Amino acid sequence: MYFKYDLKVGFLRDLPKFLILAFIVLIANISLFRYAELFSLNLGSLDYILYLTKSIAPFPQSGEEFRFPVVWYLIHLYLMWIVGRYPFSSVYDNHGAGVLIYGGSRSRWYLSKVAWIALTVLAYYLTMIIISLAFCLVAGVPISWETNILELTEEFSSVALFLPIVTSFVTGVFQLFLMTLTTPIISFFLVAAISAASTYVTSPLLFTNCSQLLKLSAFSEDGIGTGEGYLTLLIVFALSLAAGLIIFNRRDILKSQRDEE
Amino acid sequence: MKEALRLELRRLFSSKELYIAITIGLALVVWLFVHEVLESVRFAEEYALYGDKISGYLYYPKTVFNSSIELEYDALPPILLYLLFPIIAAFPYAANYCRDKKSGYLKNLLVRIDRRDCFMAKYIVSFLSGFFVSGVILLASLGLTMLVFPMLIPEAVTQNYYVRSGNMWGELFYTMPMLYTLLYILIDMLWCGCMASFAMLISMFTRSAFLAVTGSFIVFEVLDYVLSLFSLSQFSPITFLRPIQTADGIRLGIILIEFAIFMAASFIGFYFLERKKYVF
Repeated sequence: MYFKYDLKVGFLRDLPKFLILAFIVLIANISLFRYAELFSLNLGSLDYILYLTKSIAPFPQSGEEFRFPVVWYLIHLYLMWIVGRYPFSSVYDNHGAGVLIYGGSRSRWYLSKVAWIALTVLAYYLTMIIISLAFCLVAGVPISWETNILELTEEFSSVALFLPIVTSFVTGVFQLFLMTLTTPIISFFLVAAISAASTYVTSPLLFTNCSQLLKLSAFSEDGIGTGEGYLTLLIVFALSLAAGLIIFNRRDILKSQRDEE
Repeated sequence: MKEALRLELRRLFSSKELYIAITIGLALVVWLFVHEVLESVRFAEEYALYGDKISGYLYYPKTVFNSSIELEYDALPPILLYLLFPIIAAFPYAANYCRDKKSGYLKNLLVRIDRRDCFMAKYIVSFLSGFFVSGVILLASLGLTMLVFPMLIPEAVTQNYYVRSGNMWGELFYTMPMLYTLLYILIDMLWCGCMASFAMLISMFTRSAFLAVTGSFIVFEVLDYVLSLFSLSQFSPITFLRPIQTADGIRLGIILIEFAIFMAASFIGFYFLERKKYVF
């Protein structure tokens, strides 16, 4: 019952927000296309997709001036903004509290939000891929599954390519946990700060590093190992889910409702 | 008008959001301060061991003008602060209007206070909230740094300063650095006020506090992103707010014209259009 509600209210009604994502991806594609033309680079469709989550190599080991990865940050942040907006948007008003009571289980309500995050993340990445492929078709970029934009190291494994998607999902679950602990605004702020910090500091502890391809050992010498990344994400996911469930089950909804007003 | 303004100011200064925003900013300031002091201690120890030349470079001490959060160029706290300024500025007050609409408080307010006064007071206080929060954070950083580090006149040849003489007010930085810093802090404060006011424009379209507070952050991030991809970063507020001027071509004219545009958009939207909406 809860998931059906989330699908209708949280997902289908939110689909127009994906238009902004489409705009962001399109601008990034145009920018890469111009760059490739300027430097006569031979890029394929996979490059256009990977460019969106490429980010920058570990800093300061790269020995270069720190350049903030705007493309990755905005794409990552916008997803967290979509995630932060919905789950607790109505639980503290009469309608949302009614839905919670009607479903009969707080745990199921919470798990339904986790499933909603998974669905949103998948749809988000699917939109990115579809827009990039459509751009490639229109711009005459060859559809190929080889990459020239990233250098593969000896540790490369194709499962590393899925780390950005898994990281986004786990970040969403972590944000949901923070929402149970604080407010959606503070949780979004904290995730934005953690994400910005992870562009500067490379460590598995800042798990949003795992969604930046150039921060992984598969693409960069000093990066985080793929296995290490998955293990960190699994731990963060398990802890966030367990803590979130416990806190939400014990939360005084009526008191929070009064505080909200 | 006075009464409405006093009421809104009292609400601002008694809200926990204001103190949370200041605490977050001050935490970044203290983080940077500790980092800079530790680095200075490390330098001093190396200096004691190796004398004038450390690792092949001439020793140059940390000063106020490369250690405060405004002018430090390669540490994480300033990056975070300037990136998150739109949300820090909007956090104390932007959600108030949405909550007033949602809870019905606005209706009660409007039967007691003149509509024009009410909306004008809300607009002014939203500007002041961003102005005040950013001022406290930036001036605290400057003051804290001045307690420990010397105020040496910057020397471009030392390559310890990010501001170049070709930048806006570059000459001023290398002759009267304190004036440069204070003027830039004033620009930052005005812009943070502007960002908080812009959040009021967004709150016209929503009853969600989340959207009201984070909306202007997303708008400024998207703007920064689009401009940076077309090598026009000097027009992005998130870029030109940093006194170290990370992009070339930043000019006072650009800063002031954009400020006027954003202020006018939020004022026209909130004061003229929102005021006329039916709330009862």
